Amino acid sequence: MTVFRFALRRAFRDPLNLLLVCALPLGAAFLPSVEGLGLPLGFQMYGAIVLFDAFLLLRSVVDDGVSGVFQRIGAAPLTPLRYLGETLLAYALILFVQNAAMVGLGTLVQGGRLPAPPLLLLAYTVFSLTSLSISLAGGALFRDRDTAYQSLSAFLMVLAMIGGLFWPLEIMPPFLGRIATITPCYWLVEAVDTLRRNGPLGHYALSLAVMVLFSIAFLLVGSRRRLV
Amino acid sequence: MRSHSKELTPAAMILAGRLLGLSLLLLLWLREGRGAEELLFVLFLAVLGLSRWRFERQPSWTLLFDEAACLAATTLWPSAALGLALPLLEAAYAGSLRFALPLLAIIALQGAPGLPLLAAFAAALLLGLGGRSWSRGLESLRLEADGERRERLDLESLKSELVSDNLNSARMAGAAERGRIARELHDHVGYALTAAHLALQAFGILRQAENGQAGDGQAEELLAEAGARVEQGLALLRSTLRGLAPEGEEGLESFEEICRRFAPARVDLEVRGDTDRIPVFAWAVLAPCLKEALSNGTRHGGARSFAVSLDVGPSIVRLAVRSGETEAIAKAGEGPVPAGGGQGLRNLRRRARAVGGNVNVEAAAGFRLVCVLPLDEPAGAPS
Repeated sequence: MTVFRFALRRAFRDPLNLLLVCALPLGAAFLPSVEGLGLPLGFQMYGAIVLFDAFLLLRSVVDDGVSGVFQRIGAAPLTPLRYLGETLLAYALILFVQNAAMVGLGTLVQGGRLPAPPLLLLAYTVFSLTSLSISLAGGALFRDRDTAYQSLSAFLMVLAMIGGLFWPLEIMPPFLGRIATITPCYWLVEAVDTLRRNGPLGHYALSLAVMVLFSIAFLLVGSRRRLV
Repeated sequence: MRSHSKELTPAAMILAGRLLGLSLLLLLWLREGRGAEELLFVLFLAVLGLSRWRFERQPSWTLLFDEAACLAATTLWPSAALGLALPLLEAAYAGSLRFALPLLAIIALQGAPGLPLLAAFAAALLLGLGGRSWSRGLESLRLEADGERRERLDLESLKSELVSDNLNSARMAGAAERGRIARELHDHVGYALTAAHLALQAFGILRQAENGQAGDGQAEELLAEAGARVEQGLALLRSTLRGLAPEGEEGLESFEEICRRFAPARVDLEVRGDTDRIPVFAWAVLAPCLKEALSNGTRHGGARSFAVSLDVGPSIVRLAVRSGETEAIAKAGEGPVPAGGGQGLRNLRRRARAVGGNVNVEAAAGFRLVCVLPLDEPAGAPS
């Protein structure tokens, strides 16, 4: 687990990461409820925070692809798959701790306005994995670091907007609402909404299953990085 | 340099086919306003297709998962039957069309297939078979190119060996010819000249004894001149013979000379076997080996005596130099022999390798050098 430990240390070497991964989400837990939104504002937008946190963490993997670390791994007694697996595990652990802190703090601050905290934590955790895999797949498509950063951040912003992470899907035109269903963000919103409405657990589980399948598909794309 | 990763390959074409099929299925899902269950089915097909792209050479029986998923999905969503085109594409590409046979059963269960379904199947089949044919063609070309590359390498290796053999042969032929001329001159011309010289001397003595006094002055002078000329001829012949002999490659004599003249230590030489079988170029390696061993053993090991053995076997000649009694090394900077040997030993190794032999040095307990060189098998020897 050397790579795992290295990835954990590396994630917090950047002060921006520390600020965005730790302080920002915890601050969001204190945001009040807004009329028209089912959840407190911080939790309504928390999906977007997870999406961008995953991108921030995975910048190191994008950098590795550009700086030739993957080529050096090819000459080391370590498979690229293991390197990637341990790195993703470390980042998933960071995001899980962040989710747990957010949900725990939210339960304390918001009280009963937060539906089924354990299931909410599970939904955010699954979405964290999906976010990591989306950023991984996006990063694998680009050879240039700046292009990768710009394109990915723009893509994630569009994804969050269409997926309903910033505002309710009901206020969007019907055809956009329909397109939103093919984004993973929509299924996070759907799962959280099911919990808020106290809806059937089967529907909640289906939403999680869709996110899991999205994660696997993006992981498959992202893990096939060419060495040269 | 041309980038091969950007070339269109059969695998890329099949991936494009997969993505096109999945996109069409997704559009159909959007158009018909289906729910999460149907999306799960599309995503499942996507994951299976991507896993085949990510992990190549998956067994063909895994196509049954795709078909089972399609079969299950058609009970909820009839249009899911179109997804069967994807396993059909994979089966045709993998050349395992027998795994597409369950499709017939599924279609039979559904009744008469519609035109879109038939069109999707035909397109998938054609794309899969085209990709397979293309892939096999490329594989065949790759194998052919590999074979040609291997043949070229073999030819280059052979050429290098022939050049090396040619140089060796020329060197050996030159040395042998010089040796033969030297022998001829020594054995025949030298013998005749020596005999003439002796005869002239005898003639002078006998003539003086018969006459009892000094003879005719002019005859005496002519006789002395003839004797002097023969003597000069002999000296010239000896000088020529020395010049003809290979420099520093005189064979066993030079070997013995090296041992005898090595002042810093006593050297005991032991020779076994027929040294005439050792070719000239081998002496050119053995003599420097002996010098280097004696020099290194004295300088780095403080040896006071050496045992040198030269064994000529049927197929190899082996030179072994072993240091005997040693003394403490007093001179600064003259430590043990460095690992792998110094420049001199490295050069000797290269020279030995060039004639197919090798040199080993061991300095752990005393100094020891072993040089082994191959010899041509003697005529009539059992192989």
